[in-house]
Amino acid sequence: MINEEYHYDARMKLNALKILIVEDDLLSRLSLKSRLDFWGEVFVASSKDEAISLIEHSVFDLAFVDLDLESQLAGLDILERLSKVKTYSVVLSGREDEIVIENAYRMGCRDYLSKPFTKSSLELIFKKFSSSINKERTLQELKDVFLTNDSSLVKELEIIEQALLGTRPILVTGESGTGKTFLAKFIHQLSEKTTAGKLPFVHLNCAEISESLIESELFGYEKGAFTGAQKTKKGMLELAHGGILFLDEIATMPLAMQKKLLKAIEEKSFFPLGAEKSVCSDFRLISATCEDLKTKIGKGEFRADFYFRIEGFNVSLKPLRERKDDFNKLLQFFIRKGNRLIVFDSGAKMAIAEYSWPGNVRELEKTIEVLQTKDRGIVTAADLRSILSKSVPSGSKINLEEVKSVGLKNYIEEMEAKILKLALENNDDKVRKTLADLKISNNSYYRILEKCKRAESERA
Amino acid sequence: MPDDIDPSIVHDINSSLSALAGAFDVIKDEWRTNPELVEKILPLTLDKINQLQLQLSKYHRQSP
Repeated sequence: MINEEYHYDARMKLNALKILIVEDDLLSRLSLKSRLDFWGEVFVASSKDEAISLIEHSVFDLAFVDLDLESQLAGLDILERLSKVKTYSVVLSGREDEIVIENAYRMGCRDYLSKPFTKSSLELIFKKFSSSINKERTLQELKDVFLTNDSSLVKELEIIEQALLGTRPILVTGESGTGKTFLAKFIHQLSEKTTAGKLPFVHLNCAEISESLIESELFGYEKGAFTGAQKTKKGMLELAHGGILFLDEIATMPLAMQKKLLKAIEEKSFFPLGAEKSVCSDFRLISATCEDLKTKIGKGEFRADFYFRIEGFNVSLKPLRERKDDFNKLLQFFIRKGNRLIVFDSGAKMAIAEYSWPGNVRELEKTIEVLQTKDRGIVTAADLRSILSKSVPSGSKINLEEVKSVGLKNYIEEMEAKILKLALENNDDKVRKTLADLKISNNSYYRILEKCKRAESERA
Repeated sequence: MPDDIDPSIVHDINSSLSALAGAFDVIKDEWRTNPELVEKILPLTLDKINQLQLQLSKYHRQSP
């Protein structure tokens, strides 16, 4: 299938398509042929029989069919035959009644051009034809890079393939490690292919940057706008002009900034800090989050108007534990990615299947990397547990004796420290994200941190 | 479209207009580079104009 698609695409690029015109009016036939000659080899039929004979002997990429030939609506039969051989067929008709249009679509026509039509509508047909060719290929590429055949994930990826045809924002949701950033970068690659040119890709992780810096990073500033602004700096919004602005962890975006960003997106212009002139910037926004934005809106932690601006094409990436059928494929991929091949014994395989993989694909990849550095090439359940237990708190296994010996207060403090450490690790040491995840204040964070340090020094 | 007008007349008018619009595009773009084609198309265009004239008269006779 995919090779056939490439074949079509190559023919389109070489202007070597096989096109059929079925039209009984000589003048229309001649003028349409003259228009279509540019795209490849054009065959003409003036009657139903002529058309059927051509379709039986040749496969066409595209066909333009007049509905009324020697008899009324004779073109409908031709559409059905073309649909069977997967030819992209376009109806050209002066008929405007809905029943006829519906019938034509039911018979397999892809586009219905109402006569009289313009040159630009023909160009649009070729654009649509081109995108329909690329559609299958894009989806296959997405399935290949996500190593998935999971039907519900494939459905989500189909949204991306549709999104590439437009410029509406894309909102990617999914747990940490499911591939949100990876997807955003891949959308950028695909967009560059569609436009056949380099496009800027500007990535900001909203959780990585402090509230005081986020405004200047996004909007830029003029020299002297604030203490320390020694030279003019372009903001990310301006840098993304003509391309993609990827706002990761959008849920952590401060409310005031959401309002300002909303205005900039709506007006496609904004004022950098300290600037007197506005800057225009038109970009495609891709946002990502692992949080439920609707819940945050309900709590007043996220602006509803901003949400409706950033959502458009909504893609939800499944957690790894729900992609059981993809698991083996992913496992083999990551094993082959490393230099050293390893195998899993039956116990390890069972442990892998039972584990919930809270860090998702990222966690699986890291686990394989660690296992590949171990002495043994055959991985056991014990090997696996020794790695996985480090990344998962064993909340259910409270050792009562330990609590009794150190006291409940000390035990809780120790647990707090462990959880904080784990959350920081999972968030690549991003403090704001960790605070948001654990729903704790700055003060609580420093209090726990202080206790950790004290406990460590006491132990030392 | 008024109810008492035969829809096939509208269809025929649209088809003629489409043929003429296409023909004029070809004539405009090709009269220097492809005179043979234009020579072939011109008489057909004239016929189509006459045909359109008849179709329009028929339409106006039927419209209230």
